[in-house]
Amino acid sequence: MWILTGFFGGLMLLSMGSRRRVIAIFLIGCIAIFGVSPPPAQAQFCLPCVIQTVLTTISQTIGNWLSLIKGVVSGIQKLYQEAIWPISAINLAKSQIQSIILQFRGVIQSIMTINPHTATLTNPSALETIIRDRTSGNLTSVPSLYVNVFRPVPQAGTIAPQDQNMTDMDDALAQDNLMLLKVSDQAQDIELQAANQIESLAGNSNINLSAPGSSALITATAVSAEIKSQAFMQKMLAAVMRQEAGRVSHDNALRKRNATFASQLQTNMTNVLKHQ
Amino acid sequence: MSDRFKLWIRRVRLTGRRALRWIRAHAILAAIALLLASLTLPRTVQGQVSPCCAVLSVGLGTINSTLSSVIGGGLQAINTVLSNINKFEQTVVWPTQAITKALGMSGQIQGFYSQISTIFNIPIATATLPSPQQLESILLSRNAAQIPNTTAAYAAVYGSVPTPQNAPQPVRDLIDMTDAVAQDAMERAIAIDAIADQELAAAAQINANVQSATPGSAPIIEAQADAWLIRAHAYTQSALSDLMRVRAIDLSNNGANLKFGSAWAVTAQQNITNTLQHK
Repeated sequence: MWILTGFFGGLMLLSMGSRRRVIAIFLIGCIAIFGVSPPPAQAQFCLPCVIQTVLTTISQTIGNWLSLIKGVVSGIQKLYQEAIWPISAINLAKSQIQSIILQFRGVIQSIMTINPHTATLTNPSALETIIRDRTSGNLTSVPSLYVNVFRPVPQAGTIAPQDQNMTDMDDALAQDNLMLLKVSDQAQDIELQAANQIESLAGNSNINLSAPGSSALITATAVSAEIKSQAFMQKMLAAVMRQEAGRVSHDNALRKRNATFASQLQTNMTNVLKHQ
Repeated sequence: MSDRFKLWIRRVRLTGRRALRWIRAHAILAAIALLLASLTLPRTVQGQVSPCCAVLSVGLGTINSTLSSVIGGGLQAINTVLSNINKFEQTVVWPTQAITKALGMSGQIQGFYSQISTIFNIPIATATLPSPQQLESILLSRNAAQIPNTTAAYAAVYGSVPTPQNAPQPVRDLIDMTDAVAQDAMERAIAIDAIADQELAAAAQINANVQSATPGSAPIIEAQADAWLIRAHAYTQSALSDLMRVRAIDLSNNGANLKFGSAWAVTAQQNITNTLQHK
């Protein structure tokens, strides 16, 4: 800046002879100095103040927020570990399950192993054995053993046709149910296995085999098994209904025949008395 | 040598005079050239190291250490707690092995019930004569479409309601009512069997859904299974109701037999008395 001023001053001295030139050089010098001179500097902002503000924001605002978040997360952890899923409560529940298993399962199983056999003669004893053996593998043997005890349906000519039909139907309904009961007995044993497995897994002390999170799956499985058990229960009830209906129908058929016979007898008696 | 130097000095002076003379003659042009040169030449800039930068450097260092201690420390503490929660949930609440074990058991239970379904489907029909065979096959069909065929097959085995000529009206009423309840029970037994098959299929599907479920989605499936269980209980109750109806009618028949017996006894006594009086 000072050098430029010196140069333009020298030029003005050299041009002292002409006032116009002096003025022109003066104007050009002004433009040059104006162009070169730095723009007016803005007043310095307070850098330490800004830094302090940032520091305050970090330590107080963000720091406080982080502290609050940590408090909430710690609260959640405490809730999980002390209120919802305390390991002691989980272990207690499992030990309670195991205790109930020990207390009841063996007793019930031993009670159910008592399988009554009270028939004394050969044929009844054989039938009793097969209808109580809790297996479906020998279902086809039931009809022959049944006939040995309850006798076959009489041949035509030795019994009235309706009686023959009814006898056959009675036998069929009774045998069907005896066979279905063998199936049902076997099904009960399998259901007991399923129940034992569900209960044992729920009460397994190993957290890697049974945990609060897996119990929802175990429960869902148990409920779907319950539906099936209920369906089999319905099948058994349907069988009882068939049997009961058959029995009532049989009685009713006899009533029909008695009514017919009574009517015929009345007619016959009337005719006899008329002849006399 | 000195002559050469003097000559050189003389030339410089001469050139300087000529330059000054030219500048004096073209002072404005020289001023414009000077202006352009001053504007185009690079300007001096402030050096990097200044008191302002030093303050900034110290400030940024403080911010950095504050970020590390306050935010970094806070985040680290949160991370520690979250890691603990994560570990707790993975090892105590939802261990993957336990979930896998539960899913596996679901498959095994399904296997048990498939076995039961198979043995329940073993044919058990044993009737030997045509009419009983026909009725038995309808009763064991587990097919609701067979229900309308029950009446004819039933009549073929158990007969029909006697005609008015063959039985008094009260007896016909009793017979008809008993036949109706017995047939209703047989038809309902077919329906219950068919419903039980549907329930088994639905339960198998629910069980399959459990095997692809997660601990979070299992309660949803369980809710549906519970609904099915309620439904199944309702059908069981329905079957029990029909069974009770059959037994109630059976009991009613016993009572009616006594009533008829009593009425006939009175009539017979009256008839005998009348006969003896005539004689």
